[in-house]
Amino acid sequence: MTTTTTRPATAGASPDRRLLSRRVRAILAGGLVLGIGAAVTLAAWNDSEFATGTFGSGSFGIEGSTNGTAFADHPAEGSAAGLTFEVSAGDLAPEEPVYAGFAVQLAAGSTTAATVDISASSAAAIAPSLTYSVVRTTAFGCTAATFAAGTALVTDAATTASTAADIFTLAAVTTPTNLCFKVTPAASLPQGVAGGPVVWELAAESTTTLP
Amino acid sequence: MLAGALVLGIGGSLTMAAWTDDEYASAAFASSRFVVESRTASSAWTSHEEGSPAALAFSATAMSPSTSYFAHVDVRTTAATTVGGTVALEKTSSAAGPLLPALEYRVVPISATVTCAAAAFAGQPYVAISLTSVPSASAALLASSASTARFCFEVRIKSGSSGDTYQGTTAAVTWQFAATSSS
Repeated sequence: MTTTTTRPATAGASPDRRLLSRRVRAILAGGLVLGIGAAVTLAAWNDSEFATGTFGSGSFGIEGSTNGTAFADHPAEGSAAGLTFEVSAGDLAPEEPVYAGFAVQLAAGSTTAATVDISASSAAAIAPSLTYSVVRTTAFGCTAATFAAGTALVTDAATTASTAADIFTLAAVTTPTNLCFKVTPAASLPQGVAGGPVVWELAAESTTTLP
Repeated sequence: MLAGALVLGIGGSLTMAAWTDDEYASAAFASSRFVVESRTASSAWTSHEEGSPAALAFSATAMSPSTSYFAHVDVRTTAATTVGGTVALEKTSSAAGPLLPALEYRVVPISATVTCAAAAFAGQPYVAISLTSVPSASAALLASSASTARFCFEVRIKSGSSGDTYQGTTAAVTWQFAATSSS
């Protein structure tokens, strides 16, 4: 560093002021150095670990059959399986029930068990006069005799709009659960009332992963 | 006159010479070590870098909505590490697959003696898997493998996810844990 020892008398800043200014700068510079030192002290070693997860979803589906052997997917109301009632359901008489069988199973390849809800719905004029019951039978087939021997799942529910939740479970693929539907006309069934369809929806919800 | 004074000055300094002795102080310097390693239920203790991440043992190959899958990753310092520090879930470093939008998860730091299961997550909210943010989860680490931090993950398919869209699909996610030494 060089400094001039002689200055013109007309210099703007006095020597004292310049000295002070230099001291201030020196102090500031010292402060900066301290700041860097502090930042270095705060820095620490860093290391990372990585862990990865792999995820896959399962498959799940149910299919139904009206004869106990040929199963197919009936995924929408418009493509519902037509139940075949033993006695003509188009010619109902008061308190004379009709019976029809339906079977449902987990589709091959499903990876989870299922719990099944059943919902009935009908807008037909005859529907308020109809109630239905469902039992589970050991073999496919549905008559008054097999109905009586079955395990009750739904009893005397409305066909207009009703839901029975979690009525049975499906715990193995392609192992059918055989159902027997009984539809009973009320004693007050009017003669010649306009008929129409009743649609039962079997809604399966996946539960635990199959072994 | 001036030369005479100079000679006198030299004479004076010689008279002032005396015994001398020196002292020396020395110090050795070495940097500390801070390296972390991790393991999962299916991988042993080792350093798992981004190219060779530890596999979380979810066994989640056939997931269905609302069914939770649990897996843990343990983190500790190596035996040669000389300083302690902290470890925190830093980010989701990669996430891909058609199943990804249907997944949600949560993560908590737990004691390494505790099994990673539903009980570990008291009231924790689920969050979507996101590359931009992760839940806050951190734990302290002692030097030389003296403590183990366990991070428990729970992953599930969101309730109500459409089966038609997501059935039979897959996703893979990698999380990064960043460890910082305390000094």
